[in-house]
Amino acid sequence: MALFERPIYRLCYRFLRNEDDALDCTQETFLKAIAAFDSFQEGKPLLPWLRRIATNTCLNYIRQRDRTTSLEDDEEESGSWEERLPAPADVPGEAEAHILRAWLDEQMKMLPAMYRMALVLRHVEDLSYQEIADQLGVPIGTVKTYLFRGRNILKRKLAEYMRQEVVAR
Amino acid sequence: MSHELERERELIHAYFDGELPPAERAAVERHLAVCRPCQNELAWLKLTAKMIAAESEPAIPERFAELRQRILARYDAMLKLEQPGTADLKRRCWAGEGIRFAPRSAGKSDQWQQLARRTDVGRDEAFAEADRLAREIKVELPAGLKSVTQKMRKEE
Repeated sequence: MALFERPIYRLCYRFLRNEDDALDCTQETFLKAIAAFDSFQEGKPLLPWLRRIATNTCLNYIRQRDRTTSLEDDEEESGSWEERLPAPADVPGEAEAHILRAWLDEQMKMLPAMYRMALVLRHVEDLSYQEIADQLGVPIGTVKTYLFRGRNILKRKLAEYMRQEVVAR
Repeated sequence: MSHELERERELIHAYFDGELPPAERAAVERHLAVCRPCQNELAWLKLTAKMIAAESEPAIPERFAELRQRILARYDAMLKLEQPGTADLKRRCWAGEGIRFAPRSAGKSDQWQQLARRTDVGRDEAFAEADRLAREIKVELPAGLKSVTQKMRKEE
């Protein structure tokens, strides 16, 4: 299991965006895995099993931490503006990309937890809709909604950010 | 966003994610060829996804070493409960399976980590090794593993 501690920590960090919380959840994930070791089916790869435990652990953690706020945010899209969105400008160069990554980290932090988790599982872990649904314990339709809304929020913020950058130059 | 537009956009997202059946995929491609707003949507989608995927790797904090020790201590405690020989057996067959228990005994860790990283060690090879070792040290294989190795022996 030793070689999986880092990927699991990184996954927890991406879900939770906080070092202490991610360390706590990594530890809990492995302790749960060790306790449930006998239930693990021989011959299956370990990482997806650990990832599922980690996802569950982080979900519960978020539920307790954010008891007062919803895991999903029913933020309404500003429709007319959305429809007029022009094509994105050129992909930024390496120096700009560095700044942009720090900015994105902040935006990801502000996303509703379920959107963030679905996006991480899709784009970082490269899972299919069905796999994400299994990991999060929700129907596929809900996964689609999480991804759609999460991306729309990020896309809108990215467009705003890029527009401001162009004005500032 | 109107309902119709939202449905159209959802299709673009599913197309981008490779989640559409061939017929729907072809229909979206035909639509994309003539619809500028949807082309823009796809371009934004690609950029957003690319940025999320390219996000920097979270740094491993210094305190991580302590955490690792705590996990390993718990793991050791669990292994002590098992019959002699089984722990080594489990490590071996699971390392081959990609389960990658790096043994903590000095000097061997590197070898095991190398084995665990090899992609050419298949399930059969790992199970054969587990089977051989089990007979050598006279322990029972876990039930699931036993049925596979027995089948393999018959095939030989």
